[in-house]
Amino acid sequence: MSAPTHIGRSALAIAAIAGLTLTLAPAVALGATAGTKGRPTPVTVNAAALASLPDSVRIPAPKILDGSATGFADHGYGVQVYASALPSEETLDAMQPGDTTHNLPLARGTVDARGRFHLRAELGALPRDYVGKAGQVDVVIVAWDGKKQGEVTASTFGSLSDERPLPAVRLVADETQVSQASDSFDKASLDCKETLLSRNHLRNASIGESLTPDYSQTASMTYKGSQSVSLGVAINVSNDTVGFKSSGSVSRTSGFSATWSASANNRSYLLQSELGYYKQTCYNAVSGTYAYTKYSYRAIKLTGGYSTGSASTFSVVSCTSPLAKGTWTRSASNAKAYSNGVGFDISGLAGIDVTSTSNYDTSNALTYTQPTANKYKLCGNNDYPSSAGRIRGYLA
Amino acid sequence: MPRPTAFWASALSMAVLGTLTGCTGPEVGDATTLVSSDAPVQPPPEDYWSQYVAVPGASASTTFGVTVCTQGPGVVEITDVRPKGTKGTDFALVGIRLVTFRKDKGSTLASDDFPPQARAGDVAHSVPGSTPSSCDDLQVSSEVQIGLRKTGPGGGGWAGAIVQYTVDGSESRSIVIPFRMLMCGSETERC
Repeated sequence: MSAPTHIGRSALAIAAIAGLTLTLAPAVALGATAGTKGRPTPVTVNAAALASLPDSVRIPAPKILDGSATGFADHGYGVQVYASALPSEETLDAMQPGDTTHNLPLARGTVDARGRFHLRAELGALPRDYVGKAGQVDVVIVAWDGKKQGEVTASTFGSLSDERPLPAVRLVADETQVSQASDSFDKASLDCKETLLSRNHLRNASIGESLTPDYSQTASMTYKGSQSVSLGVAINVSNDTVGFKSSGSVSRTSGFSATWSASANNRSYLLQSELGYYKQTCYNAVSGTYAYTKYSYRAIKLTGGYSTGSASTFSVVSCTSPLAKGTWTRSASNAKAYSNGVGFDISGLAGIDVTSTSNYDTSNALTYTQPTANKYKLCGNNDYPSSAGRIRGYLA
Repeated sequence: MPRPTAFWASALSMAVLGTLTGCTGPEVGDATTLVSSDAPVQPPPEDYWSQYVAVPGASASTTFGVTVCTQGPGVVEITDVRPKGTKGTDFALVGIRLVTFRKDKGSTLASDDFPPQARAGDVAHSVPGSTPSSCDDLQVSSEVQIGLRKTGPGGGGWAGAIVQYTVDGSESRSIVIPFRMLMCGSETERC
C-alpha cells in the first residue's frame, strides 16, 4: 500500500501544478459542465482537485460534519474519512441507464484514537447539479482503513457550515461493502464514477386503502407532501429481491403530491420510492490505478401508485346510518398539532421513513362517493369513520 | 367513572392540599368535558377539515351529524350550536337537535331530509337544554343533528360548528367541530 506521506506529497505537488490552494473551492477547481436540452450532462471532476483535498485537521475551515467510526483498525496509515456530494435528485432523475456521473469531493479527515472525526471544508457555491431544487445536498461519507470500509449517506438543506453542519453520523466497518478492493490506494485520492445501470425499482409504503361493496360506490385518495422524506440507501446488494440493507438516508423530495382517480376497486394506495441501481468504479486519482467496484441502490425520487391485490379486508365496529347522495372526504395531517391518520402505515417499511422527517405539511385525504341516497354506509375498524384508523364502504 | 365516595375523597384531599398550599383546588366540573370523535383535542388547520358535500333529494334538505358524549362525573348541558363559518349563500338552517341513538344502528354522518328517517330507539331532544349520553355507555350514543336546506343553485353550508355547553351550570365552554357540512352547487362543489 502507498504510504500516506507519499500520496500527500503527490497531492501537494499536483495541487501546486494546478494552482490550487489547500482550501477546496469547487466552483473553480471542478469542471462542472452545463446541461443541454434539459438533460444535464454528468459532471466531470478534475482529478487533481480530488488529490488536493486537505486533511480537515490542517485547515481552519468551517466544520461540516462530526462523526464516529467503529470496527476499523489502524494498519499503519490511519483510518481515512472522506465526504463527497451526490448528484441532486433532479440530476439523477434525468439520467438514463448507461449515463455516468461523479461524486463531488467535499472534505477528508482521519479518525482519531477515540474513534471520532471532524470534517472541515471551505465550500463555495456547489455546482448546481449537486444541489436539489429545495436546496438539499446529499452527502456520502466513507471511512476506510485499507481493509474495511464503512459508508453512510446523509442530507442537509442549505449551506454547510459550522452553524449548519450535516447531522452527526456513525460509520461502521463492513468488509462486505467493497466487492473488489485493492489495498494500494489512499482514500483521499479516489476518483469515482458512478454509472446508472437500471432504474424503475420501486419500494412501496401503503398510505391508505379503500374498500367498496359494489361497482357504484367509488373512492379515491390524495397525498400531499411539502416536506422532505427520508429514504434509505442500499449498499452492495446484488439485486432488489434481497433484503434492503439501509445505510443512512437521503432526503427526497420537496412538494411531492399524488391524486388517485376515483375507483370502485378495492385498492391499497402506495407511496413509492423509485430506486436506481448504480455501479461505482473508483480509481486512484493520482496514479490512475483501479481501486474497487461497488454496486448500490439509491433513491431517485418519490412517486405514487396503487395495488388492487393487496387491499385486505378487515372487521368493523362502528358504522354510519344510510348516507345521503354525495361525497365524504376525510382529511388527515401529521402536523404536530393534529395526529389523526387515515390508515397511515409507513414508518415500518424498510427504505422509507416518512414519519421521521416529514415535520408538518404531509397530509392525505380519503374520499368516498355515494351515487345514490340510502344505499350505502361507511364503517370504521375501531371507531366511527370520522376517526377510525381504517374505513370501508358497505351496503346499508 | 369514579365511585362517588372515591370521587369526594379525592375532591376533599385536593381541597385540603389547596388550603395548605394557598391555591384553590379544581372545581368538580373541571374533570368533565364534552367530547366528540369528530373533534380532535387540537383542531387541525382548515385545509385538513373533513367534509360531506350532499346532493339533496326531493325535500332539498340533508341532516348532518356530529357525535358527542360526556366524559366525567359532571352534568353537561348543550346551550348552543352555531356555525364556525359558512360557505356559499344558497342554504338555510332547518333545525338543530340532539338525538340519543343505539350504537348498533349507526351514527348520522349525512342523511336525506330533516329530520332523517328515525332509527329504532332514537330519542330526540331540543337544543338548548339537552344532555348528551356518557362516553362510557356501551349501548347508547348521542349526536348533534344539523339540518340544512338547499335554497338555490349555489348551495352552501356550515364550515365547521361550535358546540357550546355548561358543566353543572358552570360558565360556558365550547368545542369546535372541524367538519364542513355542505350542499352541492356552484358555490361549493358541482352536483
